[in-house]
Amino acid sequence: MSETLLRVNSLSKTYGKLPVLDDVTFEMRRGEILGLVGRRGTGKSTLLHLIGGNTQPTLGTISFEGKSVYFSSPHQARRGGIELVNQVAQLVAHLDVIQNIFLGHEIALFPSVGLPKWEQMCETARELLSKFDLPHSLINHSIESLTNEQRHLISLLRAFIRPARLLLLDDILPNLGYHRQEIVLERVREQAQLGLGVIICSENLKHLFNITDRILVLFEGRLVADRNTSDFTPRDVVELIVGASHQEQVTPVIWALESFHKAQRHTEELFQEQAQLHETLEASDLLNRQLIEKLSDQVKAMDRLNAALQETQRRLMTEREEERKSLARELHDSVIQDLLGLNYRLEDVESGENTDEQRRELLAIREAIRQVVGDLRQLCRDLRPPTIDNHGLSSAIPSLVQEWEERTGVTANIDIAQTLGRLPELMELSIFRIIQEGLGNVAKHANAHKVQLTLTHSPEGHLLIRFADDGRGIEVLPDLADLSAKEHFGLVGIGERVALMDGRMRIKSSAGEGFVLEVELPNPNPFG
Amino acid sequence: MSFINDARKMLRENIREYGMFIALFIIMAVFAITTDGLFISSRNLVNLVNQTGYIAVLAVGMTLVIVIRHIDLSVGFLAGFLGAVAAIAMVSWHLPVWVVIPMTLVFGILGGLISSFLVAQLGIPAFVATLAGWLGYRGGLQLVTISTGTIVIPDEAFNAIGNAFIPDIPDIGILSGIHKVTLFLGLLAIISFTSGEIISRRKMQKNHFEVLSTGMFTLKLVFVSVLIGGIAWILAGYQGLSWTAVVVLIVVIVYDFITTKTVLGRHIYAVGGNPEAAELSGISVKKITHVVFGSMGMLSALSGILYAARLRSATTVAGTLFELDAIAAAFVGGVSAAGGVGKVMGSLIGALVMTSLTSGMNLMGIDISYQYIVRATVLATAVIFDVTTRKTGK
Repeated sequence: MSETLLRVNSLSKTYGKLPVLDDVTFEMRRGEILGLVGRRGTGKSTLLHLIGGNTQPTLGTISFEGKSVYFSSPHQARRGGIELVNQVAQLVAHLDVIQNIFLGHEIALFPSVGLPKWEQMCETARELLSKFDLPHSLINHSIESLTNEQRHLISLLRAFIRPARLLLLDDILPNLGYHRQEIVLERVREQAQLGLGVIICSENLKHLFNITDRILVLFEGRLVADRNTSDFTPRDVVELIVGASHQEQVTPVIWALESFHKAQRHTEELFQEQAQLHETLEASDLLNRQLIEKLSDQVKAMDRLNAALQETQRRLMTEREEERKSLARELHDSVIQDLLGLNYRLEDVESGENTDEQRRELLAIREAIRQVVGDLRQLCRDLRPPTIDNHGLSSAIPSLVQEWEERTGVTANIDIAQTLGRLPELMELSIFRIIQEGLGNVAKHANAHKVQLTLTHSPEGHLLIRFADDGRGIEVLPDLADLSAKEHFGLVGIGERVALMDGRMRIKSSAGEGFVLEVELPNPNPFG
Repeated sequence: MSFINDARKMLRENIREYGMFIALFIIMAVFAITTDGLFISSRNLVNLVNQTGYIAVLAVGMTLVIVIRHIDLSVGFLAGFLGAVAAIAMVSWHLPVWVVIPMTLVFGILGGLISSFLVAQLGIPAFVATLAGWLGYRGGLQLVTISTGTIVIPDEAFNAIGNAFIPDIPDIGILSGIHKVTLFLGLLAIISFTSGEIISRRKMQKNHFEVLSTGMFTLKLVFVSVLIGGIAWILAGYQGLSWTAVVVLIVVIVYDFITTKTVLGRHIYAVGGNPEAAELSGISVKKITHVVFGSMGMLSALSGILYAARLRSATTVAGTLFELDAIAAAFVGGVSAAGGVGKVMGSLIGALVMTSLTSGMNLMGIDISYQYIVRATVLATAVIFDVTTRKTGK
């Protein structure tokens, strides 16, 4: 294996007047892996392209396997057994993967003209694909459907399909993922053990120290070092690459290089973690979405329940009003009539022949009955204000208030907007009840002399009911829950009615300053 | 349902391929109606094939030239010039026809290699190099015919190539009045096409390549068989297959085989698709260029022979504008100017489309100026179709 494979003798290349390579001389043996390093633009690629036949040297010679060779085009180098894999993947887009892999080296019945043996090619290609951890199905794919990494790998696979003796790799690793880089290096090492010579150009010193037997360093077109890898330290190499031996210049570069490679590997790991996280995130996202769906279902169910509850309450109230109405009618039509009938009969008795004693007695009974009838009439009115059915709020309220004034001796001012008009029956009744309860409260608790009652429209078009008394007021604003616990059902009843009509209730008060209750109800016919 | 989906998928994926078949079919149907069936009569179809012959042969060669991203403008006058050379060889040098034809073909190859030398070796753009050829061969043609004018060819064997028909077996009692050999060849073509398709389909399936569904595949076989059978029947009803048709068929079959089935064909398309990649993978782009231009030269010579035989003479203006007809046929047939795409069979169809237009419009008595405008429209439409389907398709 010590046979010389390649000898490069005083090789120079100038583009126009610009020297790129200057007097490069080196040798390599079969099975040797050579690393080629140097800064960008120091002629690494040019050297590989000269050996690979892409360009021709200005001066100097190349001898391959003991013979002097001159390649005027890349395909001659290929024929000669030298494979070059470019930095840029060179594929024919119109042909599919298998045709690209075997391009220029088809297995055929009559070589160079003949009939291709597809089955044999497919088999070989499948083997090769699995060696590089690529799926078999790839062989029928079109080049357009491949990822960037796959394209570079296919371009690389071509070099492995041929019986080359020298493989030139021009900085191909950065195009591959970390995992694939390892695989490629492993395959290169295997081939080298079988006698393939490899020149690999890379900026990654870690890779080079891992795999190469020897490292060549180029600096500004000149070969400045050619040593066995074991005689080198990364520090030496970096010194040569940057062309300086000053501590203060080299240390930062080494530091930068090392941290660059560390960062690169770190990036790869992070990338994989990110992919995993992404998956986890997606799973938890799904869970969240399911939870939110359930929650919204429950909220919807609650809404429905609430609506049902309100509906029940509304019905309850309607029914109560109906009951009151029928009770009032019953009282008025039968009980009161009966009592009046009794009264007439007593009158008849009175006009008969009676003693003065009896007459006085009868008079007293009749007076009592009249009293009872009066009380019953009052009861009927409370149960069902007769005026509200016929004339609406604007006449029912004044009569209610007048009657209340007479009963309690408190002066009440009423101010009812002329524009009020008629409202839905239930609403009119509710408002009536609210006012009834409100006045009741004033009588019971306020110790007031004057009450101002206003029923009007707010600027927004809502209905506004306002009580204002000059009574003693309250110190702490009441909480509805508290009130119901203390059996102050007046305000609680108002509150319930207001809520059923989607309205709002406000209380303003302080000790000795009177008490103001404001109720705002949405107008059922805002345009009316 | 799945059958319709298959059909739709097939049409969508291969619209570029089937587009020109559909175009040819429509054009023939339209002319068949407007000329009251005169267009699809046996006599006219035979005439059409013979007229298409010398352009179709050039179009086949031009396909490959355009595939490798070049152009050859010299083919028209090279054909005319070599036709004249063949005529002189027979008339003045008294060479027998079986020497003259191979000799002319070799001259053609040499002519093609001159172009490819300029293009591949010296790096001159093909347009310029072959334009020089166009001028040179035109001059050559006028030079060799300057003393004689039109050279009349007396050799009957030579003239048969452009005018005669393949012989038939003697009357055996059945099918009298019908050309039996033509029918037999048609049958042979159907059998070989069907069996070839079935074998290649099996091979593709075995290697897990995508193939047409069984339904669509059967439909395709039936369609092509009926087409071949129909044409064979129509031709057999007249005088059978002409020698020109035989020559064209052989050329098309050979070139179709080379381009689709051989390594050389792969390399031609690879060079057209990405010359740099092809060179780097060990294909000699120069060699491919020489092969393609050499074959173009040979086919030019063949075209010249067909034309001279058809006219029974070599004229001083033979070959004028052949190159442009051939290029138009190739483009109508789906060859892409961007390189790497185009089929030999497509160019044959393209040539048939262009000649059918001329022939049909002649039968209808349409003025020549309108004919050019119609052909321009067809050419432009074909290229627009090509460009748009390339954008949307894969």
